[in-house]
Amino acid sequence: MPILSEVNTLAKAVEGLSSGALSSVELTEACLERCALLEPQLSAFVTLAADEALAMARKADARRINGDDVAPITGVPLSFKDIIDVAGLRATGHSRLYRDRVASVDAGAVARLRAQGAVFLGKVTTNEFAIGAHDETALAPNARNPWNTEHTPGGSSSGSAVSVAAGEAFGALGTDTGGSIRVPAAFNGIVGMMPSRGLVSRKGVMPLSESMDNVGPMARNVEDAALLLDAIVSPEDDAARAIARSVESFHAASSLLPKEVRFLRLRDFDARLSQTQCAVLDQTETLMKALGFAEIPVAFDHVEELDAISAVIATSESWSYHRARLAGYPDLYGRDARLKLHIGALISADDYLLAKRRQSALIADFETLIGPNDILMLPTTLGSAPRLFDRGGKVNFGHWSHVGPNGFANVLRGPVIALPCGMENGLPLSIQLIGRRGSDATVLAIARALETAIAGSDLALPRLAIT
Amino acid sequence: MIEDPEAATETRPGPYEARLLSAGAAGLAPADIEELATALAFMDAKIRLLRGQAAETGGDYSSSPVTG
Repeated sequence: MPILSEVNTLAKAVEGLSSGALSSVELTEACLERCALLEPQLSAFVTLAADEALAMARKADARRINGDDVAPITGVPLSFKDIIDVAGLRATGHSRLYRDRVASVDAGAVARLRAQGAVFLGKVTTNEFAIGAHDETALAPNARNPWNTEHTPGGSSSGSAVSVAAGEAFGALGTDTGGSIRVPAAFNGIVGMMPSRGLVSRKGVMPLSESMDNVGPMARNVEDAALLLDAIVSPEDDAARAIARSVESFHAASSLLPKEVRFLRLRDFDARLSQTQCAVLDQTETLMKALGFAEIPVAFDHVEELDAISAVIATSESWSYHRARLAGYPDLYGRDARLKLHIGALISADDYLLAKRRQSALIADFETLIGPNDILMLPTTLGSAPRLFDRGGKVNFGHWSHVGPNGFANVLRGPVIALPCGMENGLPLSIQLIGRRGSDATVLAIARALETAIAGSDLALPRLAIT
Repeated sequence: MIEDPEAATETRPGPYEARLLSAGAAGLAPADIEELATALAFMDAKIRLLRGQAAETGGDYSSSPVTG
């Protein structure tokens, strides 16, 4: 713990490892001690691989001592959402259906991290198959929000966010089909990034919606997210390869703010926000203007349609993927996942294809409106994390109403970053910045500049104190 | 499109049940189908919106990936 009070970001861990001031074994032991202390309350991990992690840490230290090739991420302890395969570790999707499944091959992004010598602490909770709700009868306990364990950590990358926020891991991988990186990042007061479509491989990740799924970094600040993104870039197609080739280092690029940044604040959800959150957004807008960002003088009125496209495509594809398994093993699915997956059963092929065509048309519209240095700014969630249980002790399904229509950003295929910004009722709030496809470096740079401005304002989050 | 959209807002399980079963629904109890009706009505509204927007654009899908 003394180490983690000083070395409290991934960037500081990288610095300490590269200077020789710290060893990977020291960092890994500190994370494991933190897990031992907090896991009884937080339940972020489904599988904590302590022995394997320490073995990886010893190898990472040996690489540095021997003068072998190392990367910034070498020796840094990380956690992985349990729909992302890590060879040799259980890969359950937080479902009883895959209770005993062990991955034999690393997912694409995981393979990159392994090759660079990162340390794998283990697998962290998700909502079942990244779609179900908090379920006390699920395969393993669901994660709890470290800011207040009576409140939801959000989902579906719940364990990823909790493990990072609570200091159990220096970074995590999550996945986002309709907000599943950004919402838990927001509720737990960390940074979550969904990169441009295809920039990070989805190979070896349990699909929910092949058109909308994305893998991305979750970290304590923007610099950490950029470092982690550098380590997991694994392009899936020519367009993504072009993005990757255009940026030598997202970490380096994140400190290079473009000269002419423009923003458009989306107000589609303002009527559903509290006065506190509206004031936070007003203040954020003021900070953006103080940074020299100009307002984009047009409206963007496609959010509702984009949200409909997201819903139709994601629910159709998730039904298609799970249909046969649901038919064969309905009792091994939790009730919430089983119900949500069935929503896709009645969507016709005609409507699915209509949604796909409209997606293409609206991406073209979006990229006409939004230039390479432009962003949309809006709240990540509608309020801070709500209570997990209602007064009768049942899961508060109403908390989904706080998620907001995040899926519209997945339709646009560009990078999105969620950034802590302000507090409400002792819990974090967050904003998200959406760019056009390929503007990942710019979005990181804008987020990092804004993060610095927020840190110097009364929107800065207090340090999370949990013991 | 979900059958009988007018009924969707009334959360009548009847029309959905037959459709769900024919679509391969598994492991759903009557209470599940009743609960699903609300979500299906919500989805139906989204589909109506999508169809409405598509009609407004006059079917101009010049950037469509579907080429034939």
